[in-house]
Amino acid sequence: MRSILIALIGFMSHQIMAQTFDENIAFVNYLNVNRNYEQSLFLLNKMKSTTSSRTDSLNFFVGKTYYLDQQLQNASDFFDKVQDTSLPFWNESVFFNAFSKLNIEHYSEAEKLLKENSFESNLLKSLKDFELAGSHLLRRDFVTFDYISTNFSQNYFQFSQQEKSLISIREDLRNHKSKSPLLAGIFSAVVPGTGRIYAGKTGLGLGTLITSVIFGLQTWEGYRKDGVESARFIIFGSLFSIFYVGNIWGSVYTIKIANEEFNEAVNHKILVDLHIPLRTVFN
Amino acid sequence: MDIGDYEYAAVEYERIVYNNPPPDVVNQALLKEGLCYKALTDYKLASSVLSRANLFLDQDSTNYVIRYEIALNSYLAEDYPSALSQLTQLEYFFKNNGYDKVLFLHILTLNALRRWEEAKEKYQEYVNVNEVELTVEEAYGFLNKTKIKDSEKAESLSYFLPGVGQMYAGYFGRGLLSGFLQAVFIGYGAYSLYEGYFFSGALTGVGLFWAFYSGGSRHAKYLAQKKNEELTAKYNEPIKEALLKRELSK
Repeated sequence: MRSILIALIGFMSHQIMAQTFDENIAFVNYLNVNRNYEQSLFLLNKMKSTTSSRTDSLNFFVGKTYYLDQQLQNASDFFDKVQDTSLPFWNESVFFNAFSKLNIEHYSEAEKLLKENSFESNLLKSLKDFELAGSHLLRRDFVTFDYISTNFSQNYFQFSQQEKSLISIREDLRNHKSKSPLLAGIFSAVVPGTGRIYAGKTGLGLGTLITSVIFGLQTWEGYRKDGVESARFIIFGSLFSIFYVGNIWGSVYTIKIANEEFNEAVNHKILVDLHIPLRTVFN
Repeated sequence: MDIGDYEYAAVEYERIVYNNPPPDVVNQALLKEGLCYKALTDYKLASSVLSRANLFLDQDSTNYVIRYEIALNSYLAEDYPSALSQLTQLEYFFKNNGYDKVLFLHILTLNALRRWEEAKEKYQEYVNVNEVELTVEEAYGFLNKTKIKDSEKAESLSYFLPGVGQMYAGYFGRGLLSGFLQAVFIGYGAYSLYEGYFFSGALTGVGLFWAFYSGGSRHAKYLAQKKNEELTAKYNEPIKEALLKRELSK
């Protein structure tokens, strides 16, 4: 029994070397399809320690695995290490790297990477324009987006819909008016809670209004029955004042959050549009 | 590969599965992969890997071990329903052919699920063929005087009389404090209304009372559940100790 165990361990220790590089990569792909990224990365790291050559290929597959696992900073770091432009997956590496950089808001690096590389096929040339346009839209650089998007041909089924979608988002952004924090503050000063309703947070605004009314009425009651020096008036008056001022500041802050949420939602939509063609073109 | 490199071994067992061998070899590989994750104490992953095995092949020794390992890892991952499902199947397929070896786990799982009446019957079966320190009466004597709380009842009691639900759950002091605070708020509300401070009475007195009244009832339900967990551990621990002592001595 012991000898069988030792033989088995010996056999397994040579497994990684016994497998050809392509066999290992096919196995990595199987692991990735099954979303078994931990095992995939483990195997790729083992391959690195036993394979002196083909490091570019390994870096690409590590980057791709991180990309599939949505660890996009790590993905970009490994795609950056791929240097050999003659590799069959060089183009894929460039586009996935650029997309990873866009996700982590490294827009300039993504654009530089795309601009530095030229592609032979018209499909990839158009895809490059599409991704570059998307990057400028993420940055809200409308002038450059408008300029690049004139190249959108909508001839490629892989991203014709997404080209239309980016142009539609551009139109939405053109028509969108950001809400004013100053206006929200003024609204809340006049009628507590309305600044938050203006920000689109109706429930929060109504809640604030009701609470203000509760404190306000008790302050008025204390003043009416006991006068301005009464403990009841001072306590409820203080609570009302703190809440009133806090609500004005809160309304201004709510506008900032609402604007950020809007921008995040738009950026998410853009990134989805930029992502779909990559999966279609390179799978 | 170093001895004890379970992570690496797991990858290589997965490679065997990937190479699409006959189903019985796939099952063997998944079993070994599951054992690797068990050794790495990732019981949830071990159970997940083992559950990929085809258990509709012959109910042979491999099948038996896989089912046992799924049950064990599910139990260790505190996924008791999954553990019980496998143990029930083990009882059906291997009643006269190995079930006695997993009976202890069946008892532990039923205990964890607070299905003590069924667990008691299994424990009786176990005691019939094993020498255990704890008799059935000693192990399950608590069933006659169980202090397990009905969490819904605790909530209802606090709705009926503030603080009583917490007391029923076994937290007398908290119940007393909750009841006192609610009495103060409703008293303040009533006094304010009586004195003509209608807004203060209605909004602060009654408002705070209402907040503590509804929150207190929900808290009573939570406390009852918390107490039940403590009692479950208290009831189950001696049985667990006795069973494991016996199993480890085999």
